[in-house]
Amino acid sequence: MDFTEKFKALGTEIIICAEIPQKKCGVFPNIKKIFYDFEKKFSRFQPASELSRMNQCSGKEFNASPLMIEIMRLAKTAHKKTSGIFNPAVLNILENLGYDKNFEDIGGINQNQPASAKIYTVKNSAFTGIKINKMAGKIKMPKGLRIDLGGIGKGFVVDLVSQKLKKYSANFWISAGGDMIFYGTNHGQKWRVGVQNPLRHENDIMEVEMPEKMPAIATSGITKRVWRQNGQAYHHIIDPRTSLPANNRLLAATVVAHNAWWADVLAKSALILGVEEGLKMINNEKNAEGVLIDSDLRMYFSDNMPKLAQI
Amino acid sequence: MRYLIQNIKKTCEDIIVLDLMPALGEKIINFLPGQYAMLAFYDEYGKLTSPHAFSISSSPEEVPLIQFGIKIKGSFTQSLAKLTPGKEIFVYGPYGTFIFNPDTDQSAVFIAGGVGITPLLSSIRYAANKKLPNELILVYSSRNANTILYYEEIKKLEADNPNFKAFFAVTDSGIPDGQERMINERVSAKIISAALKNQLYGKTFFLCGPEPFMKAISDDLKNLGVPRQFIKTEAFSMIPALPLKENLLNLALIYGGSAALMVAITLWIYNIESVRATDNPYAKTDLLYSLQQMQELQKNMFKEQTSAKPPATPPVNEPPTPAYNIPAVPAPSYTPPAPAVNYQTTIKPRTTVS
Repeated sequence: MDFTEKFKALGTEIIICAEIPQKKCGVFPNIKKIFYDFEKKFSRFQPASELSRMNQCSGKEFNASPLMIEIMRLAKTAHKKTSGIFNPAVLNILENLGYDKNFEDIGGINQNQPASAKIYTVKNSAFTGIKINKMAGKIKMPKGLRIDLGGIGKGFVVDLVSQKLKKYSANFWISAGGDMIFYGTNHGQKWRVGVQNPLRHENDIMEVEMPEKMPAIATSGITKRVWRQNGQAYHHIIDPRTSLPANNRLLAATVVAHNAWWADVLAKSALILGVEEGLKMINNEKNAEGVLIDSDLRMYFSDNMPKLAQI
Repeated sequence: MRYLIQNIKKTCEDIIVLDLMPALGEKIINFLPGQYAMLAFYDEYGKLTSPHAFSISSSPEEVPLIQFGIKIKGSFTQSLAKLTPGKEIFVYGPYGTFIFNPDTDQSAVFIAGGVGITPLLSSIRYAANKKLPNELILVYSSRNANTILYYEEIKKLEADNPNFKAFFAVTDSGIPDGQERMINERVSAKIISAALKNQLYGKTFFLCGPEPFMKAISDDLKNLGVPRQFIKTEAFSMIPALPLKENLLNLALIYGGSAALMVAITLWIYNIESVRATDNPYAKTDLLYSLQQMQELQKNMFKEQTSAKPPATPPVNEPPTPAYNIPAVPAPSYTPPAPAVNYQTTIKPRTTVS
């Protein structure tokens, strides 16, 4: 029996489709709860969340939960592997540019917001300065550093949930706002996934056949979360080299990888790096393929991506 | 049974619609259309509330999912309304004899007032799911035309099921234009007769709503000559509908045990009083004797209860002797339907810009 669950969490739409015996359907409320609990813990918009409390404690030792330790450990790995391009220490910049509340409350591109007085910059060394003590369950961030886990969180929770769902279902897929993971087959066939056209959101620009070794896919783009401050349009993908929203020809990047958090990180980093460096980074990864789409809707594929793509 | 909230949403007139799914590994509740269940949950202070009864509004065909339509009225329902999806709720039941039986109720008239629609909706949804040929008529009384609960769904069920017709009676406000079968009047015998085209014979009437509403309609129907046994009202009785034999046995044990305990306590108190009254140096012995007597009595009572169980294997060549003198109840012809879920996947996977 195929079971579909759709709901809103983490500021986006969550979809779970699974072929699952009826008597095991009881797992779905538990899975839904994982998403809600995750949002409660890692949302930067909730003052009582663990992330907000940790941001307030920068400069001091913070007693972190095992889940926070794990996600921070992965964020540090991602930061190192992308040579600092993936940098969660951009919260001050995002807030300064006007992304200081849920995106629905900002009002999009039509709502002009007043300019902020303070100017923040990202110091690349700041994020590497975070000390994680796994055994003692403590995290110490350099003073003044505040982080946003939006670039890794959705992929991470999708991986987490897929591990749980594997025990109950042999064939399923999970999507958290475009960060997806596939497991098993689609009634004996390989899973095929549509890639959204970054300019016409209702259409797909291509289809990808999900390879068994790389069951996760994520898309990052600059055409959805866009707002205006002091007349100037901004998006949420911050280039840590300039401390400003990434400014190149690319509109979106889609990456297929072996797990969702890593696909999410690679898609964001490629979008910041641009066509040449972005493709180079994806090609250097063993289990990752990707496609970059520019403002003329031209597509740039990594070495083996054309084998998976159908336009 | 531990259930988890799948969905909770507030609709018109302070009504919450609560969808529950059993937690993993929990027993699924199989109920009959029209039955109710008791709900309890941990409130905001972490205290388990006392269970409260609510009618199940979903069809038995939708099991394992069960749905309740609940009016926010007191502190219990106010706390319930604050719960969020994923929170656990303890569901006990099902209970109640306010059951729509497709075999015996070939022609049923559902008369609902306000949130009283919930058990009746379960029956209507069930009839639609099973494509039953039973003739169903709903007369639904509501205060306001805009606050008719499940209005859209009732209209859809009406369109899907040619054997089901709904009439709406609005008491407070006017009627929007283009509404068929909606009147601006209180539900009365006159309206019901008109809806049934004066054909009251051979129909079973199901009444659910506020107490005065049910009493008034019930009296009206009796005056029109409808026999009492064809008028069913929801009274939230705690007796599970099936099987009757086990119910009677349970009741006998509960009441018998309670009576024996009462006798024992009375004897004990009597003895204490006698010690106080006599001031006898041997009175303490009497008291001890009475305590022992009470303990014996309790032991015997326990023996009675345990020995009351029917023997597992009856002796060969001898007809099995019934352990209780309870008249045999014919097996009900109506068995709970097998659970079925209608979830279908039609969504195409798609990675979107985030």
